[in-house]
Amino acid sequence: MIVLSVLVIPLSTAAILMALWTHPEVRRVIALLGSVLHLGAAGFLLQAVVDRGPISFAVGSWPAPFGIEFRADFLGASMALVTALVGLIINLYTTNDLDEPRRRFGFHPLVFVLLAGLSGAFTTNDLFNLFVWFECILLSSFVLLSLGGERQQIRGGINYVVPNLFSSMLFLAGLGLIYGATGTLNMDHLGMRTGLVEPGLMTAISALFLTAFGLKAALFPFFGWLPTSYHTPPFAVSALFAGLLTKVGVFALIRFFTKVWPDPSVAITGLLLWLSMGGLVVAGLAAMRQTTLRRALGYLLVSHIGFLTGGLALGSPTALAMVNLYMAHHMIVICGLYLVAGLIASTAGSESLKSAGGLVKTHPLLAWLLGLGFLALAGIPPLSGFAPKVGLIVEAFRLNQPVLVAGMLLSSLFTIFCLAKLWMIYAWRPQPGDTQGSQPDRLRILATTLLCACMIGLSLALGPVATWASAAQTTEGRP
Amino acid sequence: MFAVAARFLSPLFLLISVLLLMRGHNEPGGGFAGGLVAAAALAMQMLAFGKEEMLRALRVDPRALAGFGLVVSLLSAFSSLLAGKPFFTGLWWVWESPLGVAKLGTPMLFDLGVYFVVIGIAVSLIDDLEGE
Repeated sequence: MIVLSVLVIPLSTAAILMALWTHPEVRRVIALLGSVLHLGAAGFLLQAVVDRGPISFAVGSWPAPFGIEFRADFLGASMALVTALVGLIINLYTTNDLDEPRRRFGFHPLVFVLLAGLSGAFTTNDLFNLFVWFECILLSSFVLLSLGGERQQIRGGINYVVPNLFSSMLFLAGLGLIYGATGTLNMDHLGMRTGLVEPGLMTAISALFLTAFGLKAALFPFFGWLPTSYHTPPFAVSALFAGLLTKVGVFALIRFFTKVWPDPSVAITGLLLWLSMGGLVVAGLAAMRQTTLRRALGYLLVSHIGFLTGGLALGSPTALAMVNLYMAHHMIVICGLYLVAGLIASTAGSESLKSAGGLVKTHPLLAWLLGLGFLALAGIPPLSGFAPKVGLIVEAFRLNQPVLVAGMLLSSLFTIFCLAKLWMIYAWRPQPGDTQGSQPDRLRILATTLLCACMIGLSLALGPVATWASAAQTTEGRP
Repeated sequence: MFAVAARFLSPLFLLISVLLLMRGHNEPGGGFAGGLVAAAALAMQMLAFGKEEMLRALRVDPRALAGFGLVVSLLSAFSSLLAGKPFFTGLWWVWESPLGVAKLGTPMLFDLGVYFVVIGIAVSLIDDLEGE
């Protein structure tokens, strides 16, 4: 039952929030309460998984492979914990600072449906059930993205929804084929049977899944929709999406190529390797010439997806453990940076780089938070990005993949360059003229600071977390 | 003319919707189909007497009704926990009487929740599309 609690709590909260449609004030409190409970449950789940290993649960007492099985391993449980954490921070951030129409038209219930979808995707052990959670995520995120109905939001929404619907279609087609080829949809059960399928057929089917999940994960060359849509909604929504949505695509890729098809053919891993390399370099280059912090972060996010998929292409237990760490780190850091960008934009009154500057003098706290986020994103030791990044590069070197090593190093270089440039503009340049900004709400600052504190917390706890992640990679797998 | 027809047909539609809801476990029908028919009855009210009349006939906010339906469905899932069975396990009560066997189960409660969700969502969609 503890496996399902991370999913049932946000779902119940969403239902209760919907039922209280006519009482916006009560909803505010319930949203926070639901988030705290969700975080608690996710913490318990991770604790239980660390103590006892993967935990399975058959819904409605229908045993696998006939019923739907949920199974939390370290990777899934750690992702679920970060999801709950980001959910709590976003709810805190939007407690006071959210315009009235968005609040009235169901912002908070939608956030909880999204969180439930993510938690479901991270814990399910059934490929078709994963599709259901993907739809849950897609629908709620589409409404969140276009809620408010500003012109550029609608444009961003179309950029977002068309590729994602297409990806769902490919996913469904792939599901049909893989069910036809193996006769099962339970992931562990599939893992036993995909080896018996003709390798050529399996390569074709998995190419469908690679495209479907790659679109969701903003893998090169399918990433165009991300930077053209993530800068349009309110900052809290951008932060939520950037932190969690692409990662669930990467997570699905990991599940597919480690569990469903544990030893993919060379054609597929090679393809994944080159696509990762493309994303690392191309998006890294594009990030350097963006006109707002949010757009630059969007491209950096895409570039860093290359680390995750590159690690997956390497496929060794060490690389996968490092991917797990890097993913958790990146979810927290990128979400935090979007939130800081939101605070900066409201103090400056505008998002454009032209009105940015003087942060060190006018808002020292924001400068600290921005600096911390930048250092963490660039992977400067002793912050949490450093160890997994270096771990991945060393592993790529050990497995003799010079292309990937070059891509990762180049991406790190571009990231540092881009962030250094932004830092000089935001922090050191004198403030340009007078700005029409206002002091941001206290709760927003508190939420952002808390998330930045979590970055430091993760950095401090990196040792034990890395041990658990590696242990999980070597011992997991059902006999 | 339409208004007269709507006055007679709406209750009939509602009756059929409940019938569909009840027979849905083993035969065609269920919460989704029943909810749609009930929403059709309300839509007919709107076409005949206007939007205000439809919302008045529903008596509660359609979005809140959808939320209430979700809560009901979740309750059916939680009820198995009270019985000490895993989440979402269906529970059935069976009465045997001289007239026949009556079965009542938590899947019924789930369908009832779906019924409310569908009515709530369909009516709020109609409400939004109608504008103003």
